[in-house]
Amino acid sequence: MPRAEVPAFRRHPDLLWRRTHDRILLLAPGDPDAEVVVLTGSGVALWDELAESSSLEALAARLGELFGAEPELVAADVAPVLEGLERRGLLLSSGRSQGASP
Amino acid sequence: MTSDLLDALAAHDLPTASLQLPRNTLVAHEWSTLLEGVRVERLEGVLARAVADGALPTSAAQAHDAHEVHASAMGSALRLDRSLLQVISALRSAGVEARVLKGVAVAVLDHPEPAQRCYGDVDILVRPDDLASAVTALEALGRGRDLPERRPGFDRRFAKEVTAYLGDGNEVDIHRTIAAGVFGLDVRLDELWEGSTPFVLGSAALRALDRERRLIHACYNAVLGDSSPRRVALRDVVVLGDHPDLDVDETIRLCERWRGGAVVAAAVELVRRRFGLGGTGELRHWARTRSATARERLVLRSYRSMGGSNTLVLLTGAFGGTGVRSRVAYLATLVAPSSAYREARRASGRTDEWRQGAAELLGKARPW
Repeated sequence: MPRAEVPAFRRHPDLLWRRTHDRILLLAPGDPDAEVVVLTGSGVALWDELAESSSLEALAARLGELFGAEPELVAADVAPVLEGLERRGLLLSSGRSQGASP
Repeated sequence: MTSDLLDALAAHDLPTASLQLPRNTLVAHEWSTLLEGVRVERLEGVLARAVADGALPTSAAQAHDAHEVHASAMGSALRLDRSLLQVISALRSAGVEARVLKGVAVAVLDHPEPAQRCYGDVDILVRPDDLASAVTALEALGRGRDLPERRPGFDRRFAKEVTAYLGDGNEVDIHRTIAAGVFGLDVRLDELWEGSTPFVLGSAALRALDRERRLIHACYNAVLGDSSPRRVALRDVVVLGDHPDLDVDETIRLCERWRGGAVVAAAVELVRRRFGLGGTGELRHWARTRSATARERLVLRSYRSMGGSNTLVLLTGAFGGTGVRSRVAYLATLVAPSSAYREARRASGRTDEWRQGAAELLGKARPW
């Protein structure tokens, strides 16, 4: 059976970022015109979860547990955020084989 | 009141500081004045922390303000970090090695959370023989240096730093040494380069001075820099000086070899008094009991924070370095800078050096 590719997201290693009391500020260093991106609220928790490479499903499950929400609803909210962060060069995504043998 | 309040804020979370923050919420005009001061003193990170941990009582709106100004300062810091990486990349392409000084180096290496330390420019150290190459490399990134070299060879032999501006408007100070005037000229640059600490910014591997040299630089910055040093610079002296891993003996040995013992002692004493620091650490004991020589007292008083002036600082350089010929050459560059340098000063709206110098000397004239 063919194995489906599930993208895994992780922080871009070149990224510049700072944590303040209630937000995360991000800047892609390679683009001199890039603007600082600010994550607040649940975006801070998302950023913490992205410390390790994670799929959308895994992120949604962990954030759903954290905030007491259905993973499907969380995934619908998080997906465009991940896409936006990736487009700005703040995240990397890579294909991952689902159900691969250990 | 604001000055005392800023001191108390700057001393917040320093382990042995005795200054107290207000116990009641500030009224509107006090709060807005405090915020102005916090921006000038680059204490946004300390303010946010004091508000977050409840040490400074605030209304909900004031707490919001505190976190907003901190976020704004961190946005600026990130843009400066991006500029720094551009600078380091350009220098590496030109074969120039650099050390990162002050701001981001102290933020990353000396604070549990880098966001606690705010900064407003980029400072790097290069070797004297690399200074011209470094300036040329940075010209490609923006407007280049603010003024031409004073005279050919001045930068390499005598300058504290060359200031350049990048395309994004950020300022880069390319240091040859860590202070202006005699104290900067007396620093043994080979020894300044001997101790370094690696750190990572993004994915870039960078190097700063090691902790002992960072402390000496922080002390020079606090005492020999601005006429009224920023409180964030004073905090650096405490943060670095109180670090349990600081090699106090090595710090004292180095600064005395560079004939800067009086500067370091003055800085340590300054912050002890200013922040009401207790404790009887080895460094504080040394600073309290060290007696400055007549020469040291005289030279220190030439610096602006001690009541001196830029002109006096430049003149102290005639007592620094080694050899009569070097001192004569130094004085010659002060007295007769190149016409290109003089013209660039005029064009940028700066005061004529002779007039400014004469005015400063007359204004400062007093029996020593």
